[in-house]
Amino acid sequence: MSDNKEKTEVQQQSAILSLNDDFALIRAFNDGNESAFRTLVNRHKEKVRNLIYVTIGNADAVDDISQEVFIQVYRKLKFFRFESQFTTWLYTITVNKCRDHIRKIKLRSFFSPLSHEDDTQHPAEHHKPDFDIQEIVQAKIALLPTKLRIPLVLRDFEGLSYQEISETLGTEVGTVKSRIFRARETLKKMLQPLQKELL
Amino acid sequence: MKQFNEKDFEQLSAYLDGELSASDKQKMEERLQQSPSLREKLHELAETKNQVGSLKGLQYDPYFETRLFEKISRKHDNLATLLLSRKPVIALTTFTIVILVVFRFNPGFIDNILEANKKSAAEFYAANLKPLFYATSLTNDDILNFAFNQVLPINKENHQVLSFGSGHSGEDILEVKDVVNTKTETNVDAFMHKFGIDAGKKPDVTRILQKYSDKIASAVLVKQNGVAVSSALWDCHQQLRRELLGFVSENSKSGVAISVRNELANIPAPKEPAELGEVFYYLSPDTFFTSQLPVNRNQIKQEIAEYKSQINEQGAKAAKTWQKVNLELRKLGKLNMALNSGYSIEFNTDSNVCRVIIPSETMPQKSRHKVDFAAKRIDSVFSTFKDFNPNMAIFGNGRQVDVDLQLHKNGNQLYYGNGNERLVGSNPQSYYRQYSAPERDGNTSQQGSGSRKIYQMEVLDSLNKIMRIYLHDSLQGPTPSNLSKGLDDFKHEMEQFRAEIERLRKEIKAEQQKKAKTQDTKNPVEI
Repeated sequence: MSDNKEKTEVQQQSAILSLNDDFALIRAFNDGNESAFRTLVNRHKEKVRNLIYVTIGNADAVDDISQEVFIQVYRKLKFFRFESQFTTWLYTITVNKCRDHIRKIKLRSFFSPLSHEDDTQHPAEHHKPDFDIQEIVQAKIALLPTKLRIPLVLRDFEGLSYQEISETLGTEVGTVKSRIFRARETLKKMLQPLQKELL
Repeated sequence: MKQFNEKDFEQLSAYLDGELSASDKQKMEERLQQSPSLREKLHELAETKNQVGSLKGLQYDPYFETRLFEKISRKHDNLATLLLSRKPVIALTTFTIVILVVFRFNPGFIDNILEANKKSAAEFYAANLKPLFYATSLTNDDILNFAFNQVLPINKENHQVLSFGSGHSGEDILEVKDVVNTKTETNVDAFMHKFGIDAGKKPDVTRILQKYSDKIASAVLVKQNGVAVSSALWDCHQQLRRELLGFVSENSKSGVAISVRNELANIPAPKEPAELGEVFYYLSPDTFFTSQLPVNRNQIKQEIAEYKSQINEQGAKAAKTWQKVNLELRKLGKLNMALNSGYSIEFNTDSNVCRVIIPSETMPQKSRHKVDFAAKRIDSVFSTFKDFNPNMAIFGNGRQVDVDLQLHKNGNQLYYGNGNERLVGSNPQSYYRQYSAPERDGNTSQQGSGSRKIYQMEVLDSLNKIMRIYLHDSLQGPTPSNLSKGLDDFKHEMEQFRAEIERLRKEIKAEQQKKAKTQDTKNPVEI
């Protein structure tokens, strides 16, 4: 009951907020209105959290990373130049934080025993009897190279256009198109042996 | 069937995403109608896309903002804490940069810290340091001995003295010695007698010596278990020597005055200690260091004045002394071991002496005055006059005889010695009786039944030096006309003296040959 009530409140808030655009909130915050930032966070936090979750494939670190994202936004918002959408800027920060995290994990796993790496990095590799399709797909996405993984998630999970992805990652649209195709191809091959379960 | 390449599939993927232009979209749809395999491929891509798109997000987190804003306010309050706690590398980098900058613009940073620590240690050791008077009384003879032999008493009861000097490379040398007795080898009367100064001038000599007693007492500071020697002591010593030489050159009736005067004319005035700064050498069983001790000069002046007034009222013997300096050489020997660990100062101890050699590079630049030209010349002149040391000990027949090395003239006789003991004279037999027969080459030898050490060589060396001074050095400079006759007379006397020595040598040789013949007769060689 309480969950449903919360969701309803969120939907109501989103409906109200949709009347205001992000730029107005940023200006209000820069003029000293701290609550504008709170609204901005409320508006985008779930997208950011989920983007991080799907990108890094690990729920444990989502909270820390997403908070780091919004702390950086808080500190840098006065430098925002209103030349692109706020979400593009927000996703850029999020993606960079995800990249930093992935880099740290790789570095850590380099110095960790292999058995540990198997346990923590590829949980879906173990064919548990009561496996979850979502977990398997997410685990395979996590195995994709970062440069393929991020455009794929931004496109298929977040629903960004090629142009928005291009602006977020600072790459050409053609490159985005190519990487998204290659990501899908690679993921399809990874999921091939599990097609029966997935169907 | 037409083969498709990767570019075609990329286009197909973009078609799936609705990212193709209208014309490309139309073309792609035409190709899809014609190619089942392309449709198959589109189906596969769509499946994968759906699998990703159907991923569930995380559960709604109602406390996300609470945690976030708490974090923001905490970090906002103290950004430095954030940087230090979360970014140790930043902290380390900042520290390294600061250190680099500090060393770039202040290379003596570490030295300054060490110096500061040294200063605080110096303050500790400088506490309760008193003038030398507080440990021992300084007589005129002590001061004269200080000028001639560079020795000062620091504990007369325990017969301990402080000796100081300079090495050839400019190093300072300090010694604490346990001696047989601290009785001075030199005294004022002997000094005046040897240099031919009228007895009536004694108050003038005393005045000079007294003038330096305060300076010496304030340059050697003492406490019960430590002594601090100021670099001013070296300056004080040179000044005293120069003043004594000046006095001799003006007041001596003997030919030595001319020599001294000539020497002094070539010596520039020594630098004033005030120009040079002051450094102390502190020695105790705990430590040895060189530092500018925080000494209260006004207080020391006052303490010296109090001591002097006490002497005037009660006399030197009754004057209250503070505490005796008690430096045990055995304990200083342990310090030697401690100092040897990486300390550049050389430290030697023996059963009766503790010697500290302080290299010139260890001393601060401003205390480098001790080896200046004037100081060296004055030392050189004094080393010449060492031969006038009035109490040259001559050992003979197992006893010590203090022999006056002044030349005397008694009627037609000329002798070298005092009224009681003549080393060389017109009656060689008495000389033999006392000291046995000297070897011609002057080496120590054994003669007759007893073991006798003969120091003829030393005596003759001294004679030769004296003659050199009178007959050579004195004639180098301009000779006052009223002295020329006296010098001629003296030269004549010295020639007579030489002839006398030569005659003695012949007699000695004849005596030896005679003895040898007698022994040959008594002990015939067996065939």
